[in-house]
Amino acid sequence: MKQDKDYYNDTLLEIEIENLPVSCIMIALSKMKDFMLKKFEICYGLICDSFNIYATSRKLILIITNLQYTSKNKNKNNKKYMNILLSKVFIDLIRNMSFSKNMIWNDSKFKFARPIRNIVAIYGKQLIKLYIAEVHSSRFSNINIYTQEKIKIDVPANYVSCMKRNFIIVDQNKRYKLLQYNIKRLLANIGTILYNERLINEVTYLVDYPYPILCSFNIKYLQLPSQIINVCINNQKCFTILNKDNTLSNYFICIVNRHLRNRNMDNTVLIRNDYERVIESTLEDAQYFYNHDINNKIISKLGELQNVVFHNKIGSVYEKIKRIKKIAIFLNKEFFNMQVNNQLLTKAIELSKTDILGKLVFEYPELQGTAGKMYALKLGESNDVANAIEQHYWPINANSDTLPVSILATIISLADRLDTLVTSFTVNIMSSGSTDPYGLRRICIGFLKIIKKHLVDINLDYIIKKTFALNNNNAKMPEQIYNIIMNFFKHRLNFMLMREGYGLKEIQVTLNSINTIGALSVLYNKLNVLNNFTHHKQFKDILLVIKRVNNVLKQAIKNQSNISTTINERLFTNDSEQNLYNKIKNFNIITDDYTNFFNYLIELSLIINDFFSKVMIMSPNQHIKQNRLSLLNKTKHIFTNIIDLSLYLL
Amino acid sequence: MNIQTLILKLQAFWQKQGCTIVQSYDLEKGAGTFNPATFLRVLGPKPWYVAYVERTRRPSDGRYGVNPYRLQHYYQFQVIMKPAPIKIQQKYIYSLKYIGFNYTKHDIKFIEDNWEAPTLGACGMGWEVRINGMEVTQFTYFQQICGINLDPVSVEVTYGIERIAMCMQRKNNIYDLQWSDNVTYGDMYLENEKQWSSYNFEHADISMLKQHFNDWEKEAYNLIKVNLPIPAYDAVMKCSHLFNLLDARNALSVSERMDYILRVRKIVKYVVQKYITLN
Repeated sequence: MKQDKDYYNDTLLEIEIENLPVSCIMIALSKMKDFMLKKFEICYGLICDSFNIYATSRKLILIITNLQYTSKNKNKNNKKYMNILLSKVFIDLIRNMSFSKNMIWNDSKFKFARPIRNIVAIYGKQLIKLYIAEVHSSRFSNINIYTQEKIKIDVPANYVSCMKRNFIIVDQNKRYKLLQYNIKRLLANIGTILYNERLINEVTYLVDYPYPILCSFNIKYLQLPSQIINVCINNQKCFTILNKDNTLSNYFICIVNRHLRNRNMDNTVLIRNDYERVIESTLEDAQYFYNHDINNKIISKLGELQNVVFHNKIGSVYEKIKRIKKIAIFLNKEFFNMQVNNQLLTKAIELSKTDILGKLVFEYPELQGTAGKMYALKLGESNDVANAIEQHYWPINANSDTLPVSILATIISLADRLDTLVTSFTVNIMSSGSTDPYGLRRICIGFLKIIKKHLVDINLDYIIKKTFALNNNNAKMPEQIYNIIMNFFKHRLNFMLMREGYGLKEIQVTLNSINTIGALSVLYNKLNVLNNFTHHKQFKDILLVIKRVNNVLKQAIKNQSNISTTINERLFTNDSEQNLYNKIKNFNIITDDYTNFFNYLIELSLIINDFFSKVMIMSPNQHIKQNRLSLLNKTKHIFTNIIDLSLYLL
Repeated sequence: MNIQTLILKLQAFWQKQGCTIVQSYDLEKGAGTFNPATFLRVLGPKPWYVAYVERTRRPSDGRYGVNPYRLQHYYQFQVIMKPAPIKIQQKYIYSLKYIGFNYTKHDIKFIEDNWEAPTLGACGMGWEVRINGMEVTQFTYFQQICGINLDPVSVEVTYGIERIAMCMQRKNNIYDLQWSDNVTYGDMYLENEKQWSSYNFEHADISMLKQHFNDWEKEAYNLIKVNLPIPAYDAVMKCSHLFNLLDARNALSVSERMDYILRVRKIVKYVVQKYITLN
């Protein structure tokens, strides 16, 4: 049992915000965590046993257990100062949270994702006084926006249980588990929900005490393609349900809040009926759009894409289709041995974007591709063509690893992405900082993933330059555009390789070592060899040698010694000099053969060590001294030319 | 509760919150936001609390009276408060209580929904409010109009009257709603919806609409020149509705459509600038 005095150092901060959007909650949680890990001790001289960060639909919460000054803190004996310090810490923490979209709501002009309306801040038993965005901190937490009920928080340790008694589960992980448990229980004899991670996560932050209700819709809507039903139901923050044989059922569930004043959730019939009516109305509308698009055969209206602007600097989608065709035919011939019939390829490309002319995609953009597939099938196109229409958008985002299945879809996806990337950079459309309005990053990552699977040995520079030539009457790609593309690719590669688990240093060293993008296989080879090499027992010795060589040369430059490029063997006074010279004189390792290179480095470093132990570089004889410096300088180039390991010295 | 009582109750509630109850504006518009009592009055520093019922027309949303939920003409109840009161969210929830929604029996959710009209350089932050999954209200803190930062910030609360009535009267079809105890929504508007859908989608004279767009656009520029931004704003509203009709008639290619949007945006900007300079 905790004694009363044990609570003295526990601390609570609760920020109440008008319904913070889920994306903002995620940002807030990570910023609060960062703040605690990176600033709490270093900037404020505070430590604690542990801390928890929670979020509900209206609250961001930080609970700190056993908060203390660090032993270095000059105020460590001043109990009273803690209150003042915490006030400052919490204000900094709130100011530290910035969101991609901020708003102002009152004269304080304070910027936040949504208006801050209440703050509870308690240290031990004391109120921490703070004032921000026209809100004064207090001990009173609002537990019900409908009834305006408040509760008084005495000590932080009671906070979580106190909230729970009032039907607010503050711990998001517990809410998530409760949600899943309740869904499972509800569906025991019916089936399973069609799992949607993003939606479950979102709903977890929309309700404070999740309570699922089983609903159903008129069975006639099951005639609609399941993807449409899914999108309609998910848009209403509800989940579709699969029968035990994995087909879509006409059940769905909505998630509502359980309330203190309605513990048993009696009378949910009313809520259920309303949800059913709403879902049926959206299905009715979707059916209208779907039938409209099919009856008007929009999928075959290629010519109308002339009226759809892809980008005002680039032109219409129709023109894009024409370019994709050229690039795809080139890829098919050059890299896929004509595995796909060019007529089929052309057909699939011509049908690949027309679904954006329809009402369904206008209303539900996430159905682009999928709608095209359904319309193509209705028109009697083959499964190959229909699937390619859907799959040429795969992978749909940077996190997805679902790549196009058929070669047909693969070629179209590559051609589409190449065209977007090359044309965008040609007309100077960029992604910058946090914004990527045209999704170029996502498109590039998808491109690289497909290349890795199918064309890992192919030189990407060739493909990129060829794409430019095909799009521009065989013109040569200007150097400056190539450099922009290469830099962009390097950043995307960096991101992708990090995701694949490679170390940041290895990635940076490898990417710094290339002047062109080349083939991915070469890059992976370099990276893997380097990765192994860094675990080699002599790796550290080599780094020491490099460091020493660099230091000597740096010192020499400081003392204004001349370092020439010519080396005079007759000035050698010692075998170790001759040995080193022999070793580097005939250096000609193929730059891509990393294994040999690293073996060479191991031998070289032994010889250099021998050299350092046997000669004095700074000989009183100026000629000998300069000759030795030149020898070291040439050696240094070997260390840096193929791969610059000096980055490991930082 | 029938619709006319619902409207009276909403008026009574917001009147008690200090709002002046103004009347609907006599021009076609796609949203209550375009009523000058909102669009022009949220500009500038003067406090402004109003509420009003607004007729709204969205020609493309017509369904010939067949769809039980979609209309090309419907009603909004619009509240504008400048500066935004601290407890505006609570006030809104009280208004729901006042018209008879018990939160323990209904599922009320605030779902992120920001207002962005890039063509007007306008944006705001807020939510759509859903009762049992049905979107019944838009709740927005205006941040910018025509690229101008609004100071102080106004809050706009827009109720969809038919939507709320469907929840309250537990009707599955808009046309079954009781407007008064003796008159249904269908009695009043079913024939209208049929005829207007037919007009909007099939019979509106495209070349006449285009001509009128040009005329009112020209008129707007002339009025700005002689320092009459308020009548000029009416001309812009007319252009906006003519554009919506052309859109419903499917008379515009994508690039033409963009062109029209840009033309509206350009005039609005001049109107707003003139309005601000004169106030």
